[in-house]
Amino acid sequence: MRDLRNPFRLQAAEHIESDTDFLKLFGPGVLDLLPDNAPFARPQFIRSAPGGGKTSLLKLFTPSVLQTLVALRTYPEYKELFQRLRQLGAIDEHSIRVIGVMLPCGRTFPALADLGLPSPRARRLLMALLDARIMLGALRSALSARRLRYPEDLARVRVEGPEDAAQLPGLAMPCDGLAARAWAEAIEQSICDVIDSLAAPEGTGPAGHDSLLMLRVLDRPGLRVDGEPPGSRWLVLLDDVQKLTLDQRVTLRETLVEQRSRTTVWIAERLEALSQDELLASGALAGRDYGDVINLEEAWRRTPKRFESAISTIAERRARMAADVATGDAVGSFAALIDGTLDSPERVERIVEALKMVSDRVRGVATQDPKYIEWVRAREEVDGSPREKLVAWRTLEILIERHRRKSQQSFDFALGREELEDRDDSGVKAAAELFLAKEFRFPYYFGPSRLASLGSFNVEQYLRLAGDLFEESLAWSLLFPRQSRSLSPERQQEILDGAYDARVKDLPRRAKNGRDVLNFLDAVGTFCRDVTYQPNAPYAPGVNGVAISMQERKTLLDADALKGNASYARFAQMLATAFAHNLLHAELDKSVKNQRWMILYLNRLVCLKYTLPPHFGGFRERPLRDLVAWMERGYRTSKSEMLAL
Amino acid sequence: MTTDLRWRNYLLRRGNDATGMWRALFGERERNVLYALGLGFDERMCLGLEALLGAGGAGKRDIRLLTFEEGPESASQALAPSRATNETRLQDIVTRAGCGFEQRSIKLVSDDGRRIGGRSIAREFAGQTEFHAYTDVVVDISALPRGLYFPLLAKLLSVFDQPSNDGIVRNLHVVVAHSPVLDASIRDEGIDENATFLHGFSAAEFEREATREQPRVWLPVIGRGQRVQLDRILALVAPDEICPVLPSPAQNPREVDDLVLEYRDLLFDQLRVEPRNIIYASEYNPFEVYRQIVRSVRHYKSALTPLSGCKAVVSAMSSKLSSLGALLAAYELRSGSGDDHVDVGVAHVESQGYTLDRPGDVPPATLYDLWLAGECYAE
Repeated sequence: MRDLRNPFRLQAAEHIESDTDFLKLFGPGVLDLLPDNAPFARPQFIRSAPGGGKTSLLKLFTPSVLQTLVALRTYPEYKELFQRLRQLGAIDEHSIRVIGVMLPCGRTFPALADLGLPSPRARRLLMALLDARIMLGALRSALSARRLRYPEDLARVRVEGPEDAAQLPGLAMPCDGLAARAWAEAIEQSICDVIDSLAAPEGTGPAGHDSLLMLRVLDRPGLRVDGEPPGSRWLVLLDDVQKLTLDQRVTLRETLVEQRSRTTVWIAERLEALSQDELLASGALAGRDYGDVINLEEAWRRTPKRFESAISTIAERRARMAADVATGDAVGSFAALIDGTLDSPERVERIVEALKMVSDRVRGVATQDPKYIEWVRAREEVDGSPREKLVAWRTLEILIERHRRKSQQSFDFALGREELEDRDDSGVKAAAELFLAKEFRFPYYFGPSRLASLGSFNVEQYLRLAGDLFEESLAWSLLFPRQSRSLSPERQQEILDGAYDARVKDLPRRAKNGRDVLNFLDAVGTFCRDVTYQPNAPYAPGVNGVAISMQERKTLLDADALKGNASYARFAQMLATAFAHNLLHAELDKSVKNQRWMILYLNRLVCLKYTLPPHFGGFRERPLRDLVAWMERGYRTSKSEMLAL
Repeated sequence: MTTDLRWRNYLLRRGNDATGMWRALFGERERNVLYALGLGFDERMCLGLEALLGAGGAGKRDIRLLTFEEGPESASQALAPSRATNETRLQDIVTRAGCGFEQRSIKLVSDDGRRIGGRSIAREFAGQTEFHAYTDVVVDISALPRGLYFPLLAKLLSVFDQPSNDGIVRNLHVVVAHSPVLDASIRDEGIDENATFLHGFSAAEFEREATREQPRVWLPVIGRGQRVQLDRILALVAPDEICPVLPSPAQNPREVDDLVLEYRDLLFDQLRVEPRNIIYASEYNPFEVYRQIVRSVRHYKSALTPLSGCKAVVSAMSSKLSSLGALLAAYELRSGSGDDHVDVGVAHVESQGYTLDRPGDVPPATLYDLWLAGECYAE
């Protein structure tokens, strides 16, 4: 049933059926985000927006995947991953050391909370269900780690109780795997019956218990296969924890802290699980007392080159997979499919035309104002391709505009070449490139590097965009099998231009407060465009974020203040939704002009929509009341200072 | 496994036949009727009640109005005037006809923001004693969202299926004012991030770790504009086999073609659904949808017996009438015992509210009555 024609469409780890395919598509770069020192010794909170790669990371540590990797270790495409996991201590040369037990928390646990049971009873049932499922998972994982079959080989498993008095209620230990499985299934069944019953739940179901007793069993280590522990460490992988209720998450965290189990628990949760306070604090509050927090998007943002390298590996692996299953001369490299340069011969004519137009404009200014003559001469001597010359001339145009604005009341001394060189930095060049793209409709968002930036540090967002390009390439090869499958920059931009509409525009349908988020994104995008496209490019290469003071941010975290101001409360909710969906990214405590600011950067798909630069660092400070008004009433564009484009 | 169908012989009446049936029924003897309906913005809300009261007859006519608040941020707030109009119209009908009236408020969201509408509405009808004063219970789903009427009807069917503790056989009817054009013009807005299994069916049972290896068959009853919902249910169900249910015959003769075009990338490019897996069922007959689903699931269960059977998931994303067929199928499969039992979940995605993009020219709605339990089935 699965489609390997375009493997970029295989997005969620849980939808990739075979372990070999999963490993083939897994990009090892994400492992660099784990702490180098003993990553399995402490609880980890792994957080991201949807599609950040949490489930893939967890799935990697399940025994069947690790066993497959050990078996494939000699194949070149798996070597890097094998070595990395070996360094981390998850595997050794011939066997697996860390035994993962993966448990999706979206199943049944939330419904348990809906029964309306008294809090102690709800907690006891939660722990009982968790223990039953950890037992079932541990039995499967133990057999899988020893390459045995579940359930056929359960008799070879022996389960012993924890050393202290606490025993699993209803299970006489020591026992074999069959008895343990029967116990766990019976507990699970009885709790499920309570949940599904159309009658009142009071007084039915098992008694439950107060702590995670299975962690103590695994600590001992009380679960052995043929008398031996199946690995050196158990790792309980709780996925989709955001689907638990707030009370359940608190209970779970408290239990883990109280028990201080040797068996490590990793908790993967979407940002939406965090409270509004936590989201506005960019994940800085929760989790710090319980273990390490890895916010995937945040971690990638700190090392953008690593992200680019990691996702280009993922893209290459997917393209290779498509080539493996394709017949004919399929290209096995994604980078080869997306042209990353504008310097091809067919574009020269347009570039030369633009060069003439821009250079004539600049010469015209210099004719009227001779102090710029030397700068113009310097540009005329520039060597390089027509495109490089064009960028150089457009850069000069910006620099002259800047100088004219600043020097209206100064003397008319001729300007020397040194002054030009001092001012001619990479930011202005990047702005010139952006202005040229806008003025002459040159493609701007194309090529591997810009595509990576459009991923906004979210793997799924990147894969969707890359998948759109790959799909086009497939269609192209079908229609014109003799022609190159490489997509021109123009075609890439056209395809990517549609991405905003496809992925963001229907937000009001997909998310709570979606309309407010969309209004706000539109306002900020329009505002950033206004600021970016001023003739003197004052914030080169451009602006793609706004900032509110940390003081005003406090207001958004103050429940009492929000109670008294419905607009601010609505704005805080809108921000939380935008963070949870990775549409805005907050950077806290940025120092500018003796004040501290929270910067709200736009997701790069929004930058694409408003033709803004993908770089980080460009933002403008605004009072909170202005931003609230933008969300409620929109932003009114000011055309007075914009380029006529 | 049985091949029999609970509703092999069924009673479905539409338009004038429906009112004719009520007239005949109420003409037989004095009948006390409890009429439950939701307060919503849908212009079809009062059509069924007006028709039923117009059928005359002696006996009590009590109205149970089910109200629900979607919250101040709901897109449905924009439709508050339509809702107010419906409420005024209902009060007018109640006053004119001298009906008994009771209003019950259904809590949709818990204090910590979780969807609990299904459980809330099922709790409102605790057991048989609720209905002792009545001979007939009519549930009008025309203005009720799917997340409410599915659990409600599952609860009522289970109550009516228990042996009556006063020896009286009571009738359960479902009424719906059917208009595919209007159904298609109502769009979910603020769709929840995650799909869930509705209360009243095999929700927890379906998700058991112990049976996670069993193959999953998904039967989505597909309507227009449901791409986001399909994606989210797909993520929840992770099916091994997909059998889309498409409406044919339908009011729009090209409806199937349009749906295939709308979902071709998902169904055929991404999921590689076998064309032979597509199930066609009449848009006008929920019992046909029911029959097709029950038979398909039983067939899968039988074929997959060597793999310890299968689990099935039904999703209703089409008109209310077709959705009722999915509901009946899920209820019957879940209620079976022994070999006849199949774990059937009803996967659904809630939304924060609705928008209405009403076309100018809407054909009048047709009233349907499904008589689900009671005298006509008594042996």
